Amino acid sequence: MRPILLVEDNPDDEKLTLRALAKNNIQNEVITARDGVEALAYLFGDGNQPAPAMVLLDIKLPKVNGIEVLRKIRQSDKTKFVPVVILTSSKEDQDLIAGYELGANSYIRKPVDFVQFTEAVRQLGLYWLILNEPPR
Amino acid sequence: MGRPPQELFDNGLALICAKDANNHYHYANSRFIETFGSPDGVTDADLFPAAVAGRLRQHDAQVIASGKARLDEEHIPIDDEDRVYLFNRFPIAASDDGPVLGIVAFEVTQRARAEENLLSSRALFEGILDIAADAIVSIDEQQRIALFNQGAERIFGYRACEVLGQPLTLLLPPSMRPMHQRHVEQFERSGGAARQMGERGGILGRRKDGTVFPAEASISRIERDGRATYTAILRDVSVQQEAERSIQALNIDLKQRAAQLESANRELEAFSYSVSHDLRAPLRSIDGFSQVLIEDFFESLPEEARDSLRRIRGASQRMSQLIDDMLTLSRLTRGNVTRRDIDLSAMASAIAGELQADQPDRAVTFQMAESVRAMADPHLLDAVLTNLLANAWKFTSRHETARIEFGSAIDAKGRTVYFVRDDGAGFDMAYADKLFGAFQRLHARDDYSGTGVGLATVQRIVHKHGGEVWAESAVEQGATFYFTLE
Repeated sequence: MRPILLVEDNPDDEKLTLRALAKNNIQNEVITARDGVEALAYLFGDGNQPAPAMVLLDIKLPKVNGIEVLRKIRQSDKTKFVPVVILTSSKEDQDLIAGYELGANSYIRKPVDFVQFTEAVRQLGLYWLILNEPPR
Repeated sequence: MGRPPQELFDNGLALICAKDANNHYHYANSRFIETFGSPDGVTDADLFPAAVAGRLRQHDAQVIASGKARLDEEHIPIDDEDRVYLFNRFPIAASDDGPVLGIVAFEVTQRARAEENLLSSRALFEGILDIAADAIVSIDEQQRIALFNQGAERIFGYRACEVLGQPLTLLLPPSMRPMHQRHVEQFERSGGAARQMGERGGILGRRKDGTVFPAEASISRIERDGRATYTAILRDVSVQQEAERSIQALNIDLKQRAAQLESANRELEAFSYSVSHDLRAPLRSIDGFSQVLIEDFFESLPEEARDSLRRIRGASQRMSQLIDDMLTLSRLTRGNVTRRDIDLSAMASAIAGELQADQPDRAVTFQMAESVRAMADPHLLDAVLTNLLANAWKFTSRHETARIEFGSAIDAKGRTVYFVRDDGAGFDMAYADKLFGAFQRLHARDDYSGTGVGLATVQRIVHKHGGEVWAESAVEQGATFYFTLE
């Protein structure tokens, strides 16, 4: 089972997301990157890791922002088909448009209500990790 | 020399007659008889209207009394036409009962008319000169002022009598004099009859008090008897130039303000962006970890602690809603109004359909007027109708059945007034002024949900369209919200 890459700079959000994934019995290993540079290092670094099963990507990140990370993911043959779900606080039009233009698979605005958030993570896991058939 | 031949009297243009002291004619030549009729045995009173006869007799009497010849213009009507004759009266040495007065007269009607026309056109011309706001100044060949109208008196501050015959340089600042000289020479060489000067400024005049002012002038040349007269029509443009300068200054000021406003707007946008992002993150933590406590320690938490945690979660979710509403309000009202012809009836019906679909159990009758249209921003008007109809939906929720109406009417001022009416909870009109303030609520939160931003949004949008919004209601009597769109 390939890992999930969670790109999230807020430790609280990281902890809550990990909890929501665990609650929903999503078994994949979760790699956390706390800024855009860490995310790119994991995806394209020397480690020769496999492409992740899914990327949960925040937009507002230190150093290199999520939109830039998404652009690099889509430019690389290794990662261009990886499902990328933008998971962010922003519902600004500019971010939505940039996300979809660069080929994000989904755009989810994190609900404040944690019960709703847990449900959103459950649906994401079910859909992108189980129902959705990626190219081999 | 012999007696004069009769033709001498009869064949010329002159009317000739002789009268005695009693106004009886003793002689009249054939021209006289042709013109006025035969005076044989009659007096002037028979030949002419009374007023004319009286005047003729009066002039006759003066010559007889004074013994001196005189010339008079006499107006005598012939066939209802006023004719003018130049009468030369002279005394004749009296013999017994003989004539004492000779008259030789010529018709001068045409010359008199020409003179009259000349006088009246001169009066007209002088009137025009005097009422002209511009200065009209003529100079002769020696560059001396020959004409100076009232406009010139006003502009230059001199009386005409002070400047007539003075050199034109009196009216020019010293710096202008060489330029003026060049202009005159060019004009003479060019041989043109008229030209504009100072269209782009550059002409300066000098007032009596020494102040110099900018002017525009046009100059014409009239040549008569080989001598040229120049006439300048000159306008003081100092007020105009001052106005132009202040308009320019205002424009610059306006541009600066627009730039400031734009940068303030950009800052506001950046602020909104960071509000939406940064304020929600801690709320997620508060809500999330409260839920973690409830889930992981439910059994060991006393009921009071669970209740507190639920309240913490409720509060963070409400705050999240407040932030969202505030952002929506600012986003809706930030952009420009793009007006289009829109079908408000269709828009309202679509919104009503969504409300009904959300809560299919409720028994609400919608009465939507048909073909209500407006020239307005479709996106913004959708927000207005959504807010008003959702309010109507919400504030009728405690009634078994409800009725919500949308329509339009023409008011006394001829404006189209749109309205949304419900028969729900209503409100006390004493608080009507608080209705449209942001985050103002007239009902307890436990009774009706909401953040109090909806009507503030409606008001901002209506104001952006140049319209007004108001409401009428009574407690438990329903409410009607009216708005106009200019």
